[in-house]
Amino acid sequence: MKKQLLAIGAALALGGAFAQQLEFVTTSLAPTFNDFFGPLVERANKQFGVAVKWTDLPQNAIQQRILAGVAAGNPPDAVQLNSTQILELAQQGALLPLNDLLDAATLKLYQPAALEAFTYEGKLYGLPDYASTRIVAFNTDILKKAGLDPSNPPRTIPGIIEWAKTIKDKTGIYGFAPLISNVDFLKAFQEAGLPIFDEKRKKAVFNSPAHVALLQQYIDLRKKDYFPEDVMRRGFTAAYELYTAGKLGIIIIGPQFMPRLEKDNNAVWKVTTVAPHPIGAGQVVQASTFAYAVPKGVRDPKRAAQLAAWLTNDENQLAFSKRTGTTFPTTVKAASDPFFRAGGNTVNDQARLMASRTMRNGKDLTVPVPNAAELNKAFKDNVEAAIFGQKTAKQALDDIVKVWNANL
Amino acid sequence: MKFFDPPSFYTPLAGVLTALSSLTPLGFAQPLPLAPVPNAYQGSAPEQIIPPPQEARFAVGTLTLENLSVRAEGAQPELTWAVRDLNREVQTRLGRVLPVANAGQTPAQVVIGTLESPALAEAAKTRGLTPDKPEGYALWVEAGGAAVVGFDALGAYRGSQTLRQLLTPTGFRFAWVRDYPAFPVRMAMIYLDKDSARVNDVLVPMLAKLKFNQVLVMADYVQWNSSRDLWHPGGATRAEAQRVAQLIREHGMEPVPLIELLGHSQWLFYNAKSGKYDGNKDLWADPEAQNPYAYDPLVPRVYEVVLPILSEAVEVFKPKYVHIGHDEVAANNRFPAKPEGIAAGLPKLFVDDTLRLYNHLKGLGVGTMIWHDVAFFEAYRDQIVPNLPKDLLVAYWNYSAAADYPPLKTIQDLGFRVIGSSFFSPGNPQSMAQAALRYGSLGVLQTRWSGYFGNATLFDGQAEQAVAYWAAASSFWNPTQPTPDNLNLRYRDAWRPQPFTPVPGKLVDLSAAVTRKLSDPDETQWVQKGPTTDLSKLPTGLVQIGPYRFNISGAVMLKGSRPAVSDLPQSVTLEFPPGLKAKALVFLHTTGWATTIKNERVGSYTLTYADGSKATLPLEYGRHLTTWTDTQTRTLVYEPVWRGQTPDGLEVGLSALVWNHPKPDAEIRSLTLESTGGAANPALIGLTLLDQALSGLQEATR
Repeated sequence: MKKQLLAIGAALALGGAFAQQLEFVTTSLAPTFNDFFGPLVERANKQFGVAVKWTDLPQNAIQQRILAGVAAGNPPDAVQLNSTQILELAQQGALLPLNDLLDAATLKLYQPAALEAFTYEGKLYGLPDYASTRIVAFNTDILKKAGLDPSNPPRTIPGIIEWAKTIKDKTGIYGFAPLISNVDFLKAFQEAGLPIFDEKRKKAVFNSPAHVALLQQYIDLRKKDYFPEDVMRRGFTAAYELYTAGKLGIIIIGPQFMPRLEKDNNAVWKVTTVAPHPIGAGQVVQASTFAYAVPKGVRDPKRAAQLAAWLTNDENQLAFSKRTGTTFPTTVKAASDPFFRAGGNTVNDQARLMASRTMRNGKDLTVPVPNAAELNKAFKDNVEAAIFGQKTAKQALDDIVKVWNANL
Repeated sequence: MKFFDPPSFYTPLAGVLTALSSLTPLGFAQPLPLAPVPNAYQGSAPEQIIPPPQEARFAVGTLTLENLSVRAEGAQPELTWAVRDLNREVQTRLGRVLPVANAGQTPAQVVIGTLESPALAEAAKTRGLTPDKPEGYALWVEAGGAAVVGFDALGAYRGSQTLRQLLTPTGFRFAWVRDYPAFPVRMAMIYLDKDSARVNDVLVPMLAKLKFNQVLVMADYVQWNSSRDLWHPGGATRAEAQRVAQLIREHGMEPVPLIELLGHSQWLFYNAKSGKYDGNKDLWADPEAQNPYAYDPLVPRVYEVVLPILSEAVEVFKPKYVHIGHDEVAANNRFPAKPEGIAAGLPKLFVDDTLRLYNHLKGLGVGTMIWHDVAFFEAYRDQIVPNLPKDLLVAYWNYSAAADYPPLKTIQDLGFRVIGSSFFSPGNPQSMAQAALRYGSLGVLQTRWSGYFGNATLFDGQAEQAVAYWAAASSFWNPTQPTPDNLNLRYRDAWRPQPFTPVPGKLVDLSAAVTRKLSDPDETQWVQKGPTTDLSKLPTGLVQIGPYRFNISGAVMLKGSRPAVSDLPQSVTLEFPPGLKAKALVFLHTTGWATTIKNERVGSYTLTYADGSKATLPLEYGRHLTTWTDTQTRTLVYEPVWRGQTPDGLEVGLSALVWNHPKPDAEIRSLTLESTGGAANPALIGLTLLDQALSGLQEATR
């Protein structure tokens, strides 16, 4: 009891009604970035005049934890999530719209395209924090064994696929691991310039012959074992583990993983070269963007929104992306910093430079739809059924379109 | 405005009137017509036996229960369990039991025994049904009596589960069956937690009925005597673990504890004092992690904590195997993280830890089981597999339906026995079983991942995972047969067994209140998606839907936030004739669209009694009803009674909800349907009044 009284006294001394702890949550950034978030928390303490707590959660656990916090009436004040997660949580009524909590001047600081990724039915549910696009990394040892020239890498996705087949045929090692698990094929369609909806956005149209042909290409690759089945099950994690073990020739990867590769397997890192992600007919490349959202039920919504805005301001975004060396800020000012256009000698520097070039076409390609969790599940289940030979490409895409159109 | 002629709803004028009606409740002063029927509810025996027998013939006719008794021919406990299970079935369905005759003495018309009985062996041979495989059996039901003859005692027990499913309202169906399993290992996974008793007491007998023979028991959070510091309030007691192990054995199955080690080891870091996952910090693989996940095998104290737990699990479960997990080791945090771990490398850490646990279990006379995904992953396989003992049992998992699962063969070719593991995706259990059969794998495992403390969700929230037990049971026993239909209802029946006795009642004619037709030729009816996406294939008129009869003519659809239904009334009151009483109401209903807010209140049904009092049933989305395009059942509160397709082939469905309302003896005056106006707008399609309460919502929402 004495301890509790002391705590109340300390809170009053810090400044009245606002003298309560604030908490923000990040996604899978600890412990790698403990050195960044420690000082950030200290500055936040001063900025807000209260104790600010930082919690980091694994990506696969964060949505459930936020929902549990909302249900229990004690959610964190700001939560960093990707666009799919924010859309799903917003539709579940777990997030507060930020439009009324922040002034227009604050929102003008962010790149419009980045804000768009977190806007659903006219309401903004996340303040963008950082973006990350993809590059292509090559294990030059494996390329040489396959008789391929590392100095002249392919510049198109079909070119990468041809190299991947050559690698597997010549060495027995998997050539590549395409990112097509979950709903990633929706992004592949957009990158290839294939539409998701009709012009009025009333009907899904991704069952045209062109869409079917693109999916069929990957069905054929899987059938001939040109990529491992774990890719469908564990996505990028499986691809990264294979590449790190020197068992994958080419990987499509976020540049932020290059410093991690340097530590996880220095020998593989040393023989890695990088190239920009090919730009297809869609003239866009997926750029995953994370943003801070404010859960429903926070003690002080305006205060929580201010915390989210402070965490994502120019200064903090710039500092974070400089620390990672491979991600990009989403505020107008920070994104124009020359740091992100500078090259360097290491593969990590090159990765940032390649990503910077790709970022010109970068866009978060998450498709916002009503009832997103269920519609995305229907998409995932049917694409898997096609890849694993349970349905034809046409049947799978037809089935998804039926579900989507009944629910749009 | 109190009454419209039904056709007026389909004219332009009706659109104006219904728009006006959205501002005020819509009522029908004239009572709705009712049709009394003797069987408004009629439970029936399922047509399909699950799992489907390898060889079966059926004939018209039944062996009636009059003067029928049952006898176990032999002393094996499995035969006693068989008689017990059979009589539970008869009691549940028909409210009586078969007298049990003494073995070898009193004559009986239903005999359960094995080939050890010369008379039974001869009788089976005479009929050409002699069983010749472990767990196989012969079964016949004829006018002169019935028998189950096992190849062994377990075979007799499995056969008795088939006999249970031959029970009909008039007796046992005539049948001749010769049956045996495709695999020696048919495993299903369950959890131990604080809700274990009320859930596993239903699931374990159900798994026995489905002829599984091993049960993988998730036991991470059991409150072991050797680990009091880790006791989680949501965990099961050791006594409960012991009780469930016994329950499994007494239902003819073997328990296999699953204790997740190396990866997924959060439970080792739970701190009973703080209530957080901040315990045993010296064991954390990644000392800087905020959410500990794996332990560091280079820390000797790991084994001072882990090995006593394994010993205790062996003592409690007395298993042939312990499953030690070892999957997804590097899925969260860094593994390895410390310099000495990085120097050793993941493969060596994995092998050393596996061998340490394997040798400990071997010393206790118990085998070891692991998941495949780390040990056999291309990235590590060359370094790990050659160093593992070949008598490890490997569980390969892939939770997507697939035409083939080549890793089953790869793992076997490397010298290991393997079982294929599936999850609840449609087609996954069957395709896994077919591949396992093709490659001669040891068996199959149906996993469940409902959360460490999620047992209660098997009733409401994640019921689909338990429905999959039924699909798996079918394919694990007989992989080449198609997966049977209506598995949602079969699972529901395990919790709410349907009596065969009919219940009289009244079918309500809703046609005067219909606001939308079920067919939508011109995008003005149903949900205004046009003729390819409507409910035109739902039978109409006086129809039987599941165990209930309804009078179906259209939908009393209410207002929602979607433009297509924004002009519908927010509330409709249905008047009943004077003097009406009903013990229960059955609603056949759905919503036009889904809401993504879990258990959101989307509307209500309010009864007004003659004395002016009211009773309201709130409608929570996903619990009491769901949208017609969602055919996956996640709860047992509502009953998924109809499955069909739209004209363009989209799978759709409707559910029934039974309401045993609070004043069953009071006169009912009216029923008011109300929508909250959100995304998921309710639509009532059938309404039936029952003269007797059923096992329904009251129990379902406990």
